[in-house]
Amino acid sequence: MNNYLFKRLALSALTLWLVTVVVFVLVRVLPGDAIVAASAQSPGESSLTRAEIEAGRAALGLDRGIVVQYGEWLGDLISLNSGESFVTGKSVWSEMRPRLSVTLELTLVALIIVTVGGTTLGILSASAEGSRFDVAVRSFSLLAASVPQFWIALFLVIIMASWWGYFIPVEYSHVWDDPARNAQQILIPAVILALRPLALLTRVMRASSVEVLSTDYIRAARARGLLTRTVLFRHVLNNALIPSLTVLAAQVVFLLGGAVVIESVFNLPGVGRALVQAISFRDYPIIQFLTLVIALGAVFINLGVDILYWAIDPRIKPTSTARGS
Amino acid sequence: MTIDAILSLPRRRRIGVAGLVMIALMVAIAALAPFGLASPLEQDLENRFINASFDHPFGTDQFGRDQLSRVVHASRQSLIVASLVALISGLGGGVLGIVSGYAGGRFDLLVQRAVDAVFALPLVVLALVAVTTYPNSRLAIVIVLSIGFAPIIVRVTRASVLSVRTAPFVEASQAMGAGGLQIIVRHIVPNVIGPWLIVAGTQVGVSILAESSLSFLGFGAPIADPSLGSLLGGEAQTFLHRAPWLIIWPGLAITLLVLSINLLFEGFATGARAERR
Amino acid sequence: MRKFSLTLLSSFFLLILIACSSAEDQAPQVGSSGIPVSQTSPASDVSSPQSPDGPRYGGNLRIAQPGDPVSCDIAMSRGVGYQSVHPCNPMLSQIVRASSADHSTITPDLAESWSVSDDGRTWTFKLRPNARWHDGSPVTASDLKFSIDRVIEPPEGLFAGRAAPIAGYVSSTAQVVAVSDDTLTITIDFPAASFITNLANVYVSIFPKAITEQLDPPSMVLHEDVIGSGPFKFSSATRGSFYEMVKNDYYYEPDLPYLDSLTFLVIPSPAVRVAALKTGEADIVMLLTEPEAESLAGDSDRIRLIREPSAGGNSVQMNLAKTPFDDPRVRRAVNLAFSRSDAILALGGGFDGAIMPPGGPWALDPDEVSRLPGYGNDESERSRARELLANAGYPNGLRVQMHSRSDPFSTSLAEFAVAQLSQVGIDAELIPLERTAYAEFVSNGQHTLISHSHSFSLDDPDAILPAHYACGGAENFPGLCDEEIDRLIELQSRETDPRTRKQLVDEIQRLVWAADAKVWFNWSVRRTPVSVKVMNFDPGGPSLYQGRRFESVWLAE
Repeated sequence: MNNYLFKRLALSALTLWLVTVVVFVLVRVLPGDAIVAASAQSPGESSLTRAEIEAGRAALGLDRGIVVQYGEWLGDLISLNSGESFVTGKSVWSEMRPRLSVTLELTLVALIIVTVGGTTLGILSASAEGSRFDVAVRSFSLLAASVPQFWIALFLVIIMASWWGYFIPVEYSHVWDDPARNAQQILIPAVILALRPLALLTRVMRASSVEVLSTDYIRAARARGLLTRTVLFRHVLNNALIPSLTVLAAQVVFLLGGAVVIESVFNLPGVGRALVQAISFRDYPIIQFLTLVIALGAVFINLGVDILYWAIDPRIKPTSTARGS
Repeated sequence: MTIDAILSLPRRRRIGVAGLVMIALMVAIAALAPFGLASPLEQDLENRFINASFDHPFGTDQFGRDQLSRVVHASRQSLIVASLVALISGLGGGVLGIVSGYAGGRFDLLVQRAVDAVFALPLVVLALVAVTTYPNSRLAIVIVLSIGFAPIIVRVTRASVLSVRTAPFVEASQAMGAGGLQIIVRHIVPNVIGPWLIVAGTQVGVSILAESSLSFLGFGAPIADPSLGSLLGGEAQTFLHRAPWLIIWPGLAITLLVLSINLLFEGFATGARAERR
Repeated sequence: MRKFSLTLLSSFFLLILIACSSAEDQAPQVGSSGIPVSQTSPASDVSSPQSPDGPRYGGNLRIAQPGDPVSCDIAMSRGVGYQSVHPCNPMLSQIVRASSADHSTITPDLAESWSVSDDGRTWTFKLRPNARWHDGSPVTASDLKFSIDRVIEPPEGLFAGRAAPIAGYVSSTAQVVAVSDDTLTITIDFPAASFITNLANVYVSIFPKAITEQLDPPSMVLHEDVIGSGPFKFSSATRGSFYEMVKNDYYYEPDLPYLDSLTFLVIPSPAVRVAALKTGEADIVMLLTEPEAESLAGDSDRIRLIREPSAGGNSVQMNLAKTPFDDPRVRRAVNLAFSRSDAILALGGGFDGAIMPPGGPWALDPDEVSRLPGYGNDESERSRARELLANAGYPNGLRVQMHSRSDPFSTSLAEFAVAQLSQVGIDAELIPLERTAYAEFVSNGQHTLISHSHSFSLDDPDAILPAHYACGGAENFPGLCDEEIDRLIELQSRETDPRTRKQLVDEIQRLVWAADAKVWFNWSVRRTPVSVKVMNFDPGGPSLYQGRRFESVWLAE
């Protein structure tokens, strides 16, 4: 296992390096740079001459070869220097840290809603297969997986405002500053963000629970009243754990994509919006840093899930070494 | 389970039939759109912001364009993009998954790392870069979404390949001297196609949603040929209180499209589970 | 059985096949509309209500805008957008200020008085004795010199943005002299009537020398960096969410500001901004579309709508260096293709004008405007345009690419332009480009035809004409290069007699209009919804940028 872990970590580092190279090149393929972007602020921009643009590029060090730039960035990164934003000139880490905490909180709350809600709804509807409740849960999960999140979010904000005169307070407050205000700002967006993964998890949970409940052993035990609710619950959960983990792992990464639109509808100062803004401003250090952080998250979630699989059921060989012979 | 059995599954499930009928209906509407409906681009400035009426059942927009015909045309664009994405990522991911699962070894390792890397790359970044570099190109969006959705298909197919690879009948046929390609075609593909179809099919719906999110952010389909997402992401947002119908109908159209696709493949999935029991 | 399953398998691909096989490309057609709804004389309803009880102290004013300020160093090009100017301006001061209604009326700011030498070249500014920075230290003439110097000779990596016209009068920093702590003289290269107006531009804000020089780069970028001398000072901010300022006790007007605090809220979605206004979360929302303004009619008891002519508008601009627009006949045809009344109808209002903003002191006489090519009868102008195209060798019309910004507002505008051009047989393929990509594309001269909207910061010939119409001007996207126009632009700048100068400017307008390079087809209206409890609010006049200091605004109970 230690050997396996070591191998996986080394390979993960390789994956991350690959991502940084790809992103480094991709952002520089984008037409325009931070100088042009800064002068292109709508609706009344003030254009720069080519000579001014070249001078500005030189001041940011963008006139050097891409390999030199990458080397410098990587060197800085290794010495834990995240670089400076092209727009504000401030340290990328200090600029992005509060933003990361917003998105992290949003995603975590959504994840809790997904896990708790999906498990409960799935098992309850499976144990009442065919009932009205079951039909309701299945309809909900089908619908929730089909609705565009930003569309629902937009109408929710408008309806809350027009019907009840309620507007989520704009000035963002971190959870450690004002938990009550923070809850107002995070809960509704998290529910909307959770809708789709919740629907998927509910379906998976329900399906595997139905399967377990229909085995002869359980049916017999249930008929004789030998099973308490908790034992049943535990049994079902054990069986549903692996497929659920797979769904969750895939969804965590997609949550970020959803976070971009949710953050812009609910005015949350998270990384999704920061990333889109950084791309529009050609703020390479921010883009590189954020994609690295996101990739890091994705890689570790994958790694964690693989290890969890193995921990849950040692018969499953970890994927990357699955074909030993 | 054979292909025949898999394909007949949704037919035997009410939910699948419902999805099938809905999809057929919407595809028919989208296909017949150019005949009989007003042009989605024709401006009629004297009839701006009309709410539902006999001439314009879905109302008109800021230039007096018929919203019904815009929604229908946009549905077609969304369907084209989504189907192409499902097709490309489905075939590409499927082949890659089968080959890497069957071949194993270094090739498998390489493919898995590449898949991890793509998985770790935020799709938003990829999409923004593609759409900014190749404006007005629907192909750019299709390719980006295909790349983004391929990993999940590679993983699912590969996992099912691994589960049958060591099955007795595969090993038997290996012992009888069957070649790799022969085994893949004869034994692996039929066993993998079920899960593959469900995952790839579901991607049609996911692609429609993803494309609409990108359009909402302003990185979507060409404006002259709007998709459902670009109807939502366009100027309509800036007068939502004045003309909510311009946002309601395209959103409902997306929901219906994705829902019917989900219904169909839910039919497949529940059918497959019932079969296993 | 097999047959049926095949059908099912294909049902998955059916979507693609059918969808792809149907007809593509419907040529855009536009319903003709001849309703004359043009408002030739801009009228505004800017009357700000005054309470009989007089001003009230206290309260928090909340203003919603779509994005973050890019930089508070608005003198440099990074902070040129209104989203930077509005949240930063309340913390800053200038030497003198332009009245927001008329930019040639100058009022005191840090300088309490000023005088010009007899030759009209040396301006002497006398500072207020009580002007202080937010940290309490006094504002001195050396701070003023420092701030003007950096516009004339920007520090490395920075560029003078909209403050740049100042450098057109002062060629060397040696001409700016801090005579004593409270006296500054600026000697300009030639007597120029517009110098003081351009000096009064909000973009020529004054920054403290000692503090700014210590920064790296020497620029107050972030809201929290700003030490200014304006009526408000920085309190707290979270990028992507809000920017808050509080009353500055050191402000030189001891009785101002009335407000305790001022908060700028960042709300990206336009529909959500309106919701914020309706619920009272925001008191003022910047830039509203006309339809959304109409939707506020039901809230008139709580929200007052200010409609003003804006010193800005929408145009199509043709690259003179590229076929087919190197041919003046084709350019004229483009101009004639536009129905200005259609534009007013479709774009929710607007005004007829030539080159200088309509309604302002430099506007061409409305009678003359109505006789300009493009303002005549739509039908006859369009048939004339077809003739011109045929003469130019395009009897069956022509195909061109039109680029625009990809934001919803710009693309919608461009869609309108495409539909108008199609009326005379010009088939324009619309290609929206992401904001920065668009700027790069245009600055490289790659464009053939663009649909563009622009908002001027000052209604002044020297601020507008050289940049937009002189050979090599930064905003001269068509590449107009006409010796006579250049000569007249130079001449009017040096002309001190107002009447003669106006005549010169009028002549420039006629020449520029006749060149059909930058075809303005709609001069816009700006709509600002304001909560009724906001008193004494200055909506800023024609410019989106001037008069945003909020020092004399107060909130009713």
